[in-house]
This record gives sequence, C-alpha cells and structure tokens, in this order.
Amino acid sequence: MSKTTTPGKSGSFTGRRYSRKPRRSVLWVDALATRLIALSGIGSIVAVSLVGLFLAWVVLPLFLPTEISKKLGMPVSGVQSESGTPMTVPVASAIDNYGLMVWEMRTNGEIAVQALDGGAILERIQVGGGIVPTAWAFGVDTGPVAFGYADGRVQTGEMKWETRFLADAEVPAAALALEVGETHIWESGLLVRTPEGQLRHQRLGLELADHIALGDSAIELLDLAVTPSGLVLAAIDADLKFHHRRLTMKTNMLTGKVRVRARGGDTSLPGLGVNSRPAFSFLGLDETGNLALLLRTDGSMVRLRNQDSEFVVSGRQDLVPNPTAQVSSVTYLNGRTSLLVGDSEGSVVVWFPARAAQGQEPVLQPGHVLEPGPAAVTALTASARSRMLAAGYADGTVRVFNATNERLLGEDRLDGNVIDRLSIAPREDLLLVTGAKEAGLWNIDAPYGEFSMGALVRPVWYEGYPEPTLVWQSSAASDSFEPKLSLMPLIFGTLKATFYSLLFGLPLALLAAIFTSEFLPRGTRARVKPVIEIMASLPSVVLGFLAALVVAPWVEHVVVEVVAVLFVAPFGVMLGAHLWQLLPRELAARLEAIRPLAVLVSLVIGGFVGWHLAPALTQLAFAGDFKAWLDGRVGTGLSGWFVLLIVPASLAVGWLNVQHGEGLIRTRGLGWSPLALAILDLVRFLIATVVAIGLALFVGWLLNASGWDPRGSIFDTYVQRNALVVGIAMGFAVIPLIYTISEDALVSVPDHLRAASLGAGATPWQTAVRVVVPPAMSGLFSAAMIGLGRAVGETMIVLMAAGNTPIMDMNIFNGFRTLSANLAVELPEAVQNSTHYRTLFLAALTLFLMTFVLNTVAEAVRLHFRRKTSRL
Amino acid sequence: MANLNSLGYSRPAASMLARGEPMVWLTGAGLVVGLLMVVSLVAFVFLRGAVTFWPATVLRAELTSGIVAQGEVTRTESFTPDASFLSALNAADRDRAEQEIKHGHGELKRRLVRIGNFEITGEHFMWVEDFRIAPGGEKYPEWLVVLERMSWGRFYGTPVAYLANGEVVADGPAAAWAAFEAGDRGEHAAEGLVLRLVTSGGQLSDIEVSEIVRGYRGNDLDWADKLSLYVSRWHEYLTAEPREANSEGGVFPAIFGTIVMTLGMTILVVPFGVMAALYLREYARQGWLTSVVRISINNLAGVPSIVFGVFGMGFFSYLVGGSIDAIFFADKLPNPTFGTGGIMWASLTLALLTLPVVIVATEEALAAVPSSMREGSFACGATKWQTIQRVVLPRALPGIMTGAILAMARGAGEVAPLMLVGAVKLAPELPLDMTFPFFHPERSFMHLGFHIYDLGFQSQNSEAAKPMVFTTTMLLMGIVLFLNAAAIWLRSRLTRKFSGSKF
Repeated sequence: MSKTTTPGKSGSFTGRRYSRKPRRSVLWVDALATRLIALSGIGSIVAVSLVGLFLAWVVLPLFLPTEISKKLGMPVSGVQSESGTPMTVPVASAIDNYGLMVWEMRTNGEIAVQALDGGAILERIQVGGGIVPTAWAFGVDTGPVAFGYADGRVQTGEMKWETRFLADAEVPAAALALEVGETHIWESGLLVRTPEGQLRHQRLGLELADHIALGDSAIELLDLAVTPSGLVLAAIDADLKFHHRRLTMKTNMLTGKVRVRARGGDTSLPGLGVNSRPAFSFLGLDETGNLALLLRTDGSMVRLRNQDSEFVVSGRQDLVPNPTAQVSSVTYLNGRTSLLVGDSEGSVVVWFPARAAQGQEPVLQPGHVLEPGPAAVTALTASARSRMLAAGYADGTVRVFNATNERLLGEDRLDGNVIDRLSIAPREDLLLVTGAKEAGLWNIDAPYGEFSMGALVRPVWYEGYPEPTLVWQSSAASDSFEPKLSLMPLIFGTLKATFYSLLFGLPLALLAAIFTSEFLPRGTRARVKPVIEIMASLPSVVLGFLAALVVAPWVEHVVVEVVAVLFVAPFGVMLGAHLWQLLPRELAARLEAIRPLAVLVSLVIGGFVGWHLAPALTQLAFAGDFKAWLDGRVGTGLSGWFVLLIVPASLAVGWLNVQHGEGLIRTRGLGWSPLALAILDLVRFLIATVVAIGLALFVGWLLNASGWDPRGSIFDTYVQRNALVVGIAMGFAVIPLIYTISEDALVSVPDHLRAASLGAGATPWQTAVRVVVPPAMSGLFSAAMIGLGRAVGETMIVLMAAGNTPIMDMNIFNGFRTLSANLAVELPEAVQNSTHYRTLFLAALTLFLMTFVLNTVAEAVRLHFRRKTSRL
Repeated sequence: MANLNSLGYSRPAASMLARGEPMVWLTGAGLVVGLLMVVSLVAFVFLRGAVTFWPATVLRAELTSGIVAQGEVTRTESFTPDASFLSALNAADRDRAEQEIKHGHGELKRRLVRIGNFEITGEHFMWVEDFRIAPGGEKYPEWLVVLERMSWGRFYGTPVAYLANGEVVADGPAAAWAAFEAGDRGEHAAEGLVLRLVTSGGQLSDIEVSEIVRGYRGNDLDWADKLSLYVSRWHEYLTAEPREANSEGGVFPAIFGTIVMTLGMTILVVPFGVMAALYLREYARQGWLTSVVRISINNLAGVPSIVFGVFGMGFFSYLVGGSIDAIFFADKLPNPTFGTGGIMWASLTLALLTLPVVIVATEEALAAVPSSMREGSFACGATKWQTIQRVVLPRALPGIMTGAILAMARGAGEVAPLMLVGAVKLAPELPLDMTFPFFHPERSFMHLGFHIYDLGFQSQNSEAAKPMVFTTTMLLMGIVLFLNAAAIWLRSRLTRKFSGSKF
C-alpha cells in the first residue's frame, strides 16, 4: 500500500489522492526481493544437494579406467654390436625418486646411468674393476648391493642416488637459465631447477667394500635382505653350496672405505647337490633374512629355513605344475613375501605363504593367477611402493597389474622386441621398458590401481591369509603393508547396529505411540510428548559416553539380570493387567486416570523379580557362570535356545489361545459374572505362560539334541562394548524419532472414525487396533523407516560403545565397526586424495545413499498416507 | 438374548479379549519405559555432574601390608571376588576376606581411593578392600590436606613446615597451614614460597605455593566451607583454561568454542533457510518440481551428520580452504591456513546440516499463515514483498524462531562432523580475541561435545577425568535441553495463539 499525496487536483474529500501505481522504490524493492530470494533460495537448495554430488565427484576417480601410454622412445643403454642389438642383457635397473634418470646393470657388469628424457648416457660404471661379476643382488630400490664373482668372492656395497643443492655460482652458466623442471647434463648427473627455484644435482653413487671370500667356486645366485639387525646375504655357488652371511658394515671415517664383518656359515645340503635336475634360476631371501627360496627352471622350489644359524631344508613344492612350461622370470613382490612366478607359456602366478597351523610349515599358495599373456614371460618387476607389478613378454607385450585384485591396469606393446627388463618408478607414474633392440618410457595412469569394485564386496585373498576374506584394515606400522579395503565388514557392522537398536527401540516406540494417542487423556498427552521430544534432543555424544563408560561396565556384571528383566518385566505387566481386570468395572473405569501408574508399578515389580531371579537362573541355566557358558565351556545350548525362542513361543501360544480359546468362552461363558470371567482369563494367562515356556523348552531341546548350539554364532564370548549395549543406547536415539512420527500419524486419523467405532459398541482397544491403526499403518511404516535411517547413520554412540573392531560376527555380545564410526576414526588420518581417502568417501556416499533411499521411501509412504487420511 | 446368541451374536461382556486390558497395559509399558529412560538418564547425568565438585572426605587407610593409602574416596562398591583373587592373597588377608564374604552374601566391599601424588606413586587411584585395612587403620586425620596443583594432579599430605626462600617460616601442621592460608596461592603467589608436606609413605615433599591452585583440609570442612569450595570449583570450571590434559581446571575454551561455532552457524543458516523456504512456499510455482525439492530437503534432514562432516572436510577444508591457501597464503604452504579444519568450516558444515531443519520449520510456519491474509494484503494493493514483509513474516516469526532454536540445539549437540572439520582436543588460541582481525575463522577450536569424547576415550587417565566428563556432559545437556525446551515452549505458545483464529 503506497500513499502519495498529490497536491493540486481535487478528488477525494480528505484532500489526499491515492495513486493507483505504487512508488517506484517499492516496485524496485519488490523486484530485488524476488530476485534475492529466488537466488539464495535456489542457492541454498543447490548447496544442500551439492553434498551427494560432491561425494560422488571425489569417489569418481576410483572408477576411471586405467591405462599405460607411451611417452617417448629411448635407445638401450648397452653397447651395441654391429647388427644393432646389444651384446648384453639388462639384469637390474631402477628409476630415481624424481623420475628423471635410471640406472641399469647389464650382464657384462656395467652400470649405465641414463637420463629419462631422451636416453642420454650420463655415466658408465664398471663393477669389479674389469672382472665381470657372475651374480648380483640389490636391496629394495637402491641401497645395499652385492656382487659375486667367479672366484667365489662376494663384494658388498652401497649404491644410492646422491642429491645435493647448489648455489648459482657453482654451476655452469648454461644451467642458470634453466626453467622449473628443465634439466641439464653436468658432472655425470643431472641438474634440475626445482619448483622452489633451487638447483638440484643428482647422480648415482656406488661405494664398494672389500671382498669377502665365500668359497672357491663361482657364485651363481646371490640375494640380500635388509633386516633391522643388518644385512643378510645368501648365495649359491657352482658346487651347489649354500652360503649365508649376516653382515655388519663399518665406514672408516678417514678413508671413507667401508669395512664389512661377516658371520655365518656354508651349508652343503644333501638334496641340493643333485645335478641331474635343472639348475637353480632364482634365489630369494625374505624380509627377515631367515627364509630362503630356491627355484629351478622346471618350477620346483626348495625352501630353506634358518634354524639356530643353520639353514635347513624345510619344504619342497612345485610352483609350475604345467610340465611343458619353464620358469622364465621370478621376482619378489613388495614386502618380499609374495613370489611372482612367470613361465614360458605366459602365465604369471602370485605365490605366498598362507598362515598355517601352529608348528606347521606354511605352504605357498597360488593366491592370484593373473590374466594369461600371449607369449613367454620374459621380465617381471614389482613396484617398491605397492602391490603393482609389470610383466613383459617375448612378443613385446607389456602389462601392468595389481597383484592383489588381479586387475589389469594397462597393456601396450614394444613391437619387434623381446622385453628384457622393466622398471616402475617409485611414484608409480613411469614405466621403463627395455627391449632387446630399443627401450621406451611409458606413463602409468593408474593412481588407484589397488582399488577394485570386486575387492570392495567380494572376499580377497591377501598375503598370509589362509583363504580369501572380507577385511577392512587400512593401515599398519610396516612399510610393505597392503591396505585391505573391503566395505563388507563395515556394512555388516552398520546393519548389526541397526538391527539390535531397532529390535529394542521399534516395538517400544510403537507401543508407546499407540498408548499415547489412544489411551491417554488429552491433557496428559500434551505433557508427555515434550518429555519424549527432549529425549530426541539428547546429544548422541552423551549417549555414547554413558553407554561406553557407565552402561557397558555395569552390564558386564549383570548380563543375566538385564536379560531376565527384559523378559520378566513384560510378564509382570501382563500379570498386572490380568489382576486389574479383577477389579469391578465401575472401579476400573474410575481408576483409569491412574492406570499408567499401575502399569509402572507392575513393571517395576516385574523388573525387581526378574533381577532377583537372575542368580537362580544363572545356576539353573548357565551352570553358574554366564561368561563361561557363553564361551561354550559349561552348560548346554538349551538355555540359549530358550532365550531365543521364548518370545516366538509366547506369541504362538497367545495366538492359539485367542483363536481357539476365545470362541469356547464366548459360547460357554455366557451369563458368567465379570469377576468369574476375569478369573478365568487370569487362569488362562497363567496356563498359557506355562505352555509357552514348555514349548520354548521343548523346541529348544529338540534343536539342541539335533546338535545345533546357538553359542558360536548369536551368542559367543562376551566383550564389554557390544551390540546389546549399543542397542540399549541407540534406543534413546531412535525411540523418540519413531514415537513422534507414529504418534502424529495415529493422531491424524480423523476422530469421527473413533466415534463411529465406539458408538457401534467396540471397546477402545478394538477401536485402536481395528480402526485407528490400519489407516495409520503407512505412517507407522514411514516412522520405522526414518528410525532405521537414524540408526544407520548414528556415529557417536557406535564410535564410543561398539568397540570399533571391523569383524563380521553375529554375536550379540561382541562389538563391530560401522561405516559412520569408521569415517570418524579414519578420515582425519587419511592422506588427501589417496585410495584410502576416496574409499572412505565411497563409504560416506554409501551411507548417504542408504539413508536417502530409506527416507525417500518413508516420505513417499507418508505422502500416500496423508492423501489417504484426507479422504477418510 | 438367547435367540440373539443362537444367531451367532455374543454379548461383548462375555469376552475379556475385546477389552484388551493386557495389550493396553503393554502399550502403556512402552510409554512408561520410554519416560523412565529419559527421566533416569537426565537425572543420572545431572546428579553425577553436580556432585563432582563437592569435596569428599579424605581417608587414611593403613593396610595390613604396611602400605598407607591416603586420599579422597571416589567410589564405594561391592564385588564378587573370583578364586584367583583369593588365591593371590596371603593367609591372613584371605581369612579376613573369607570372613567378610561369609557375612556379606558372597561380596566384598572396596573403595576407590584417589591417592594422587602422581610424581611419587605413579598412580592416580588405588582400590582399597575393607579386609585389607588393619584393625583401627581407617582414619580421617584432621590435618590431612588436599592440594590441587597446576600440574601432576592432586596432592594429599600433612603439612610440616612453610618455607620462604629455603628458610622455615612456620613449623608444625597448624602453623604451616595458617601461613599457607594467609598468603596468596597460584599465579599470584610470590616466588620461593614452599609448603613442605609429609606423604602417606612418610616422605617429605616440597611443593611451591605458586603451583597450588587450591588447598583445603579435607576432614575439617563445615557445610559452608564445602559450599564455598564447591562454588569456587564451579567458577574455575566455567572460566578457566583446562589443565592436566583436560582432566583438571576449566572448560572455558570449550564453552566459548561451542558458543561461537553455534552462533556462526545460526547466522549462516537462518537467513538462507528462511529465504529458501520463502522461495519454495511463496515464489516458486507449486508443481512436481517443488514437491521433489521438498522431499529431497526432508530427506537431507535424515542424512547422517557424519556424511555432512565428510563433505565439509572434503569440500570446505580441502577444496575451498586449499584454494584460499594457494592464492592468499602461498608463503605459508605447505602448512595449511584455511586448508584444514577451522571454526568457519565447522560453522558452515553445521549450517548445511541444519539447513533442512530451518527450511522445513519455516515452510510449516509459512503454510500456517492463512492465505486469506495474503489475499487481503494484495487486495489493498501491497506488492508481494510488502505482503511477505509486513503480513506473512511477522505471523510466521514464532515458527521460524522455533526452527532456528531447534537448529541451534542440533548444532550445539552434534559432534561427529566436528571431528572432521576442526574440533580439537586442545586449542591454544580462542577463535575470537583481542588481536587483529579479532575473529580468526581459520583457527581450530574446542567444543564441549568433542571434549566429552576426547576426555572419555582418549584420555590417559580416564578414571580421574570421569567426574569432569560428567560435569561437561551435564553442561552440554543443559544447553541443549534449554534450547529445546525454549523451542517447545515457543511452539506451544504459537499453537495456542493461533489455534483460535481461523479466517
């Protein structure tokens, strides 16, 4: 309404004229408000819906296809013969941390350092001063090295990338103009401008110590393991003698010379000397240096174990069962536990020791069989960071796999070449392929190679496990640890938490809602509802804290008492109701206002009796020690079955009683006094109780006699923070939610239906059950769905009270870890954009979708309900 | 009636089933259990929380083994010993224990004594079973004092002397204590003042007065002394910084952090929530799209809070914060400024979390405004905005406020998302202080709810921290319950006010 006084023209008797048009400013404000409200309104709605989209966006890279793509071609480092092929074959190589250069050792004992952008040779180092080594071993990546010679001697040393930062004055003028990332060849290494603007020089350094004589004959195979207590060296010589040494190195401060002290022994093992078998082609020491594997070209493997500083044969196995295939390439996977065996027919198998029974030697299991290749496997290499591996084949094919999930991450070809050697860069972004004639550098585009959809939900066979399992274990102390990211244990935990909390909360909330809306005077109702709503507002951290630090330690001592109260208290209420029926009708009607009080009293008495029955029950049913009974040490499964069956049995007996007892009384009991009927009813109830107990015992006995024991599945060893405690605590969270919504649904059933029903002679109970509840059913269902959603997503209670062990155990007395608690525990520590981080986001997305679906179903049902009631 | 019966009718009185009394009682039991749960939980927390600061008596128990346990009795309980417990005792103790078991229905009584003196004993607590106490060994010495210290927790001992700069000023318990009580303590105390005490083990121990926060004679307090001690501890609790890994001292930074975070959230969520609701209810054309949006918003109210936390961490901290760092704080990288949890991100995350609550409440309030009022306003020539501003909004205001208060209550009590977006165990600096620019949105903060979680679960000394957790729980619950009660009260007033007026 806009008033404008326009002087002049007379018109109205007040002397004022009302303009038909509003003032410009008013229109302007209106238009602005419209725009602003539309903008921020839509903005808010978009912002909220952004949540799901953003989660999906973070998760998406996990599902992007992986590939390897050729970056550039390179010449091979070896000196070439006149035909153009090198006279030597590469035996070892490694790329540096920055992905700029590579060293490669060939059979002639020459180590060539090559720049990766173009392949310029930066330095050639001849090992052994002209004597060509016959065997070699390299530690993880770079570090300790060892070379064996034909005269039975071994030389150890240290090979590493030497990095130093230089001032501008120290470098040649040409290097000063380097842009960030550009390199310049200088002093047998590379100069590079770092992103911080510094100049960094890097070259390969090799320090060799004195020779150690192992024996007289030529060293054929050599391996070393880096253990916390020093280097361990193992060798096989031409006489098939096995040598092992534990080395301690000392660097002379003055001369820089490394002195090595070796202790160990030589073992001439009886079975090893048989020369009729094919020669050994692989010798490997595991991480501890106490286990050596020897592999012949036909696939037969001998395992040697260190027993009191003496290596003895502890097992034999055939790793290539196929008689026509020959072992063509072998290497350890990161962690030196899994053995990668490639054969002449193109198959690559990952073998690892499965956890064996106490005192038994673990046997290698073919844990993963990778996709068969087109030709003989000629090169195998493992990443030093994860379970990634690369395989090269005789026809020039190159493949990159993840060993654990057997996923083929990429495939390409270096045509016309037998692949001699592969190296994966430490960052897993580059792959150097050395063929017989040429080499090339490939980009590996598989940042989340250890992720696979199958591994999320299907059992995966991890190193050291006896069988494929569903495990969530995202981190551990050791470097070579492999994250195990199966969501199933977490989803299982979520469902377990939800199940037990609804088992307790849902019936309670629905019953309370029915009572409030149908049997409580209006005034009392208005006072009761806010109290329950207060319950909804209790912070879940408070509930979790009380559950974990108050309820859990307390329940641990009184489990039997709690269970007894859970069963006896309802019985007390039922008994109280039957006694109440004995009151004359008029009196009962007058006392209706205090009926809830009577309910309370009977509940408390029932609970009291249950509590004090518990010690006797423990003696009777659980052989005096409930926890020992749970462990299966004492007693029988009968009492467990009884606990499980008593509720179904009571329901069944109650139903039979109503179905068959009722008609009889209706015809025979005509004309009886109400008191007589009430007494009869009480007697029936007591008989039904006895029958129900008898039925539960009988069925339980049958089940027990047929050998089924509920212990070991649903009942098992007691853990302090368990599903029972969580169920009780979560009750506080879900009861008010379900209660409020279902009470609203019941109240919104129109009153004329009630009036009609009561007027037709139905009792309030009949009206409630047959007239009010059926139309409200969809509302009650939606309440249950929303309660379910809350239970699924609840975090603090389960985080604090569920023990947080990601195990899949049905046992009500054991803990679990839910999706939500897992997020709270692990996300703060997860490295941004790592596979772990994104998998956690996937867990969040799963949670989001689960609750979104549940709520949508609830909402749809609720709308349906609203439409239906509006028609009533 | 007999003929009716032959037709198959029966009198209702003949059936007890129709009355359904037992079933009605069962439903009643559901409600009673629910109410009992709430009442007992609230009562339990408030009782336990309220007694924390009430001074306990100080026991000196001389045990048969010669050890003297001296300290406050924090808990008394009965327990059923198992065979291994008894077999580990020496013969005399076992006799006494068995005697007690015989008289006490198979149970033994024990007390948890807070023995303190951690730098000497290496323990904070000790269980003292009654049978272990030597005959006549249970004493409540008059001169046994309790010292609350800046570090190392509590100290229990008998004063021997009072020293100033190494010289004895007062000798004997009474004189030393009088000298101590006469002077200042804590940070106000002068340097070089030392109270010398003898511990339960007979060891002499010098404690600097400047280290002592509070000292009192545990067994010589009358009712008024106890009350003043109680009040002074509450005062410290509400206004001081935490000490001893949060298990002593106050929770002021946590209260402050909670309030600032909740206020920030409210300032963000209310305008946007109201505008979104206005748009949905007053501006957008009602159709399938608006109902889809409405359903989605309702659904989002049910999305777990931790999911919002994950979003806040990934989107606000890492993406937005990371970008801010890259542009404005590049010189501090790789140390993040905004690229990690902070109070602003926490407020934003919780604002998103509570946005559906506000939208739904506001929409309901708007819907409750009769359209006849809008039409009347339009008929008078008002524009849409004028109608909303002067007719609709004032009328819907109580409903909107209810929504805002509910959102605040939810935000104040929510912990799970905060663990991901910036709540920390101990924040050295408040997010709001006197140094420019006064408000520091990038700082991490302490929160009462997180304080409870941290103290209860990450604390080294959770038994000592437990009373504090109860008090903090009580405080947090008090805030949340107060806010909720306000919302409920507002709502009921609103329904009363408008229920009579229908157009």
